Amino acid sequence: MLRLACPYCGVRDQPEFRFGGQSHITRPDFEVSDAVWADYLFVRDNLKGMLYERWLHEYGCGRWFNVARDTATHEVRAVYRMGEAKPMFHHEQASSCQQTAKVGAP
Amino acid sequence: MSVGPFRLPAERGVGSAIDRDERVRFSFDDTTYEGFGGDTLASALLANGVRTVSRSFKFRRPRGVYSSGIEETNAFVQLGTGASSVLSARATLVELTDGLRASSLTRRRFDVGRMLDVTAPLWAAGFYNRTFIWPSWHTYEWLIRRMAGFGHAPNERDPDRYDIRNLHCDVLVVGSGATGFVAASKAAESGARVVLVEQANELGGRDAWQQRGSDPGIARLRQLPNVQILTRTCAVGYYDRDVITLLESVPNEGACSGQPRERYWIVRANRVVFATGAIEQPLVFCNNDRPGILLAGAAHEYLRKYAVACGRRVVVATNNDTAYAVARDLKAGGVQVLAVADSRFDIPTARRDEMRTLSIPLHEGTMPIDTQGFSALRGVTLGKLSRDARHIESVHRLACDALAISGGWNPTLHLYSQATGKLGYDARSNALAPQSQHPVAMVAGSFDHEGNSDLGPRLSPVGNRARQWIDLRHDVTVADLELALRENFVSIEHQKRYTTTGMAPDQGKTSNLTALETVARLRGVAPSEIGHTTFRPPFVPVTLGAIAGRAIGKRFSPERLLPLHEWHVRQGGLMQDYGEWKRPAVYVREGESRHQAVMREARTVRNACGLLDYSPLGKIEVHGPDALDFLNRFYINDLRTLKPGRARYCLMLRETGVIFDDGTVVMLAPDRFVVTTTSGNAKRVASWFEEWHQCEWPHLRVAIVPVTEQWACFSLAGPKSRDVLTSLDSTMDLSTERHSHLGMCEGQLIGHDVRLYRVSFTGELAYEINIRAGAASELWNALMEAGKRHGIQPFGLDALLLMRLEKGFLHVGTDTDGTTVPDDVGWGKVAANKPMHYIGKRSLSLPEHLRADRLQLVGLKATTDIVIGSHVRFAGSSEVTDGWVTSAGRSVTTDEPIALAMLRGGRHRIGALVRLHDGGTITHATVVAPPFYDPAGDRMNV
Repeated sequence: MLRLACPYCGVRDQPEFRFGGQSHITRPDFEVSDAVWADYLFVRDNLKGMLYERWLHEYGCGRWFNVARDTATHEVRAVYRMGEAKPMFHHEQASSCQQTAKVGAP
Repeated sequence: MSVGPFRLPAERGVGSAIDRDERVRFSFDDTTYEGFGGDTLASALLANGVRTVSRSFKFRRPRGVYSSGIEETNAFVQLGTGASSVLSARATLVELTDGLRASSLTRRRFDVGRMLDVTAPLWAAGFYNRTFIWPSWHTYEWLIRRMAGFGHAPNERDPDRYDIRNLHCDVLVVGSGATGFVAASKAAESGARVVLVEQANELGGRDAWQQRGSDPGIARLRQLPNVQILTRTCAVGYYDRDVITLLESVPNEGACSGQPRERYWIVRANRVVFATGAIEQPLVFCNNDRPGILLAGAAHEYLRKYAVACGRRVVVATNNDTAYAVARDLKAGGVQVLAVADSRFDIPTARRDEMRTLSIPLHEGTMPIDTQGFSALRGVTLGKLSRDARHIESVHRLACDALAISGGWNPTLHLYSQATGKLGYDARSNALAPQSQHPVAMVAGSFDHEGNSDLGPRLSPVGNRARQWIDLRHDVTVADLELALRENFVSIEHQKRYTTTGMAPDQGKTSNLTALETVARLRGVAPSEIGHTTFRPPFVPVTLGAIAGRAIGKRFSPERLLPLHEWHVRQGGLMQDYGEWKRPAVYVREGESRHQAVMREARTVRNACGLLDYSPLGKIEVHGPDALDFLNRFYINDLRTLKPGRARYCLMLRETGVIFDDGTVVMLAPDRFVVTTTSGNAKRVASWFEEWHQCEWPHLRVAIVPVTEQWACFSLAGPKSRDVLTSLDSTMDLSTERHSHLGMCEGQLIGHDVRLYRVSFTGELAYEINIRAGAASELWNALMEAGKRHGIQPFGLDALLLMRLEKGFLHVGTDTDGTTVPDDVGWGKVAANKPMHYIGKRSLSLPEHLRADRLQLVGLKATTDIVIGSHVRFAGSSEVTDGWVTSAGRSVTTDEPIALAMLRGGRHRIGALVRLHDGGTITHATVVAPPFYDPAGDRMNV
């Protein structure tokens, strides 16, 4: 079970939260090709390492926020509010996390 | 009645755990026995000379008590009878109580299943997968399950209670042996909040026989306010981020004690100390599973704690120093020890001297290679090993009734491994050892029982490998591992899965080490190169009741009641589950069938007036200067043309274009809206709004306020509904001119603030009346009273859904599924014509959504009743199915069978005759364009 530090409420157990998938996904314009749209709808990173994701403190303040979590160890490296810039971590450099900035929505 | 022929008298100085003054009667199968207070079921059975306790899983071999604790692999019994019966209890952990009734899971004496043993070569590893494939596994499953001896699960509801508790601490110490005690004491002295967990019923671990429970140090520890001690509690799982689960079994103090049977603890600890000691490992040789063969440490414990001799003529076989004390103490207790066989050649001089002094014959470089007997051990064949331990140079037989074996000790690292701690094979102790640091969990204690290093061989070099058991519980033999290797299951993880060794209750406690050594030997590599299988929770079997805790029955899921629940029940409302809500499906009167009642209610609405409790309808208020812009991003309908005081029926999509929900958008004022949702989606839609607002459009100035529970909602429907409403004291002008179809007005009704919407799901003139939930009852009664002279009746959801079917109105989730887009249900033009980029719009032009053969919503008419879910086929169709019936019933007005169906390219098939397939029954219907009633909508637009 994860324990997450909601930026508004503090540390709580995972059952209070709902996972919302990968964060920092940009919703494309209406005019994009079918392929780009389908990519936005269905394709997400599936990586071993730092994943930037969003969580809802559903049984708490009801706010969405971002979490940087290592998928291999469950270590939460950062918790930050919606709209804040994604924190970068030295060792992962230009690997997967840079390409994630392309697409996204709920 | 005696307390058993194998019980040693008090003057021998043994039996520290038993109270010889307290006699306890119990029964096993159909025989009554006596034991002492403090006995376990296993010790009492051994004392009474019961050798065969169960039959093995696959070959039905007789099996006896093998250990004295949690590692028991043979002595599984069923406890009690009836509803609170427990299946698969380990006899070694069952505390003996007066009147205890236990039974073996399989027939102990005569057993036809024994044929399976005689024909064992047919049942090698993987035989299930290969053999029971025709016609399917299910043909055989019931028989195999019955024969496997899992016990009988009671059919009745479990009357016992189970609790779940949460616990936070600084230091969790698992195990209360010498190491755990010191760890807990030191941590407690520093002021830390300490939880000390002990699996047994007393503290002290393996030394508990010395009565360490009464040790002054332990007594001091008990009194510290920052220390919590849990006995009879086993740590069973280690989960992500250092959450540990414990299973506590609560001693049964009678049915009325008010205590739960078990507690499941969820512990969050900052540090975890595993002082879990070690589990003794077996030696592997031919017929090493006969009743009477047991682990040497267990023989020792039965002797010291329970004054029970494991036999009258005992042979001790070992590969290490620890079993010598067992031989010594057995002898001191008056038991005849025929020999000690040690598979080592370089036995320490002190051990040789000790055995010589005690006149116990010691055979060096010797191990058991076969045994005799059937339902009880009768003898053992000892083999003298060659120096390289690969051959047997000579053999001799000894007649004995017990064989105590010790293959050294393997640290109990299951939970450390679950915590992602790394383990490796340590060549010095021939066991697994921790090989990494963990940030939170640590392993404490040497596990190095004195003399548990430089061990002799564990595996016999000779004998029939199909008769050498590795996992006794699952009947896995050396031959099975060999077969798996031959079939190229090389990795130890594949070996485990193919042969099931170390799976299920054993979890590798007595089988992992010998399995990996066997595989190493068969492959000709060092055991350290084999690796080990992954340990997973739970460490011991956990009752489902303990995991569920109190969240069963009514507490499994909250039940939501309407403001008028009591009234509906009084009026004979058939209250059914609709999601979490209990709602009246229909009010059945005396002498009526359900169908008749539904038709009566629907006819009343069509002809006069009916009242429906519609309160679960989802209601969300959206306020703010950007409220219109915000909502316009969700619905396929263009809301810019909506005027204050007007309502509109709207559809909402997922980003994939699939229909998510429908409802009414009501504009109270330019910056104030109420949207309704389907009852089941009330929470989901509000959450959906929030997610998009917070994550995608935080700049829009809106507030989203779910108000479903605050407002009760009634639907007053029928041609007489306006008359009923206007006869009440009201501040609103309800004339058609001021309050037309899809109009909204706010005002007072019988002195309460209400919101009135002219929306209709029945197809009749109808009002949705929203009122503060607390005033619901008053208004409901006033409406029923005022409607009396028009023949008003309450109606339920059955009638509502039947009338909407007749009108061809969509019911999201019934007529639609996870693939339905607006055009499939006739909303394509509306969706396409809205110019803005609303959620889901871009997906509507994906090729999949433009196919001509998509399923489309149409009506069906027939002369016989249509069954929901029937598959539809067009004449001459070569497809398996051309669609299916989504809603069906009988027309309220014509009594004709009607239905809605999703058909492949259905809108181009109007007028076609189709076949309906329901199971084996085939009927016919005609495709029509809905609605079936009042196509122009004149009845609601009055």
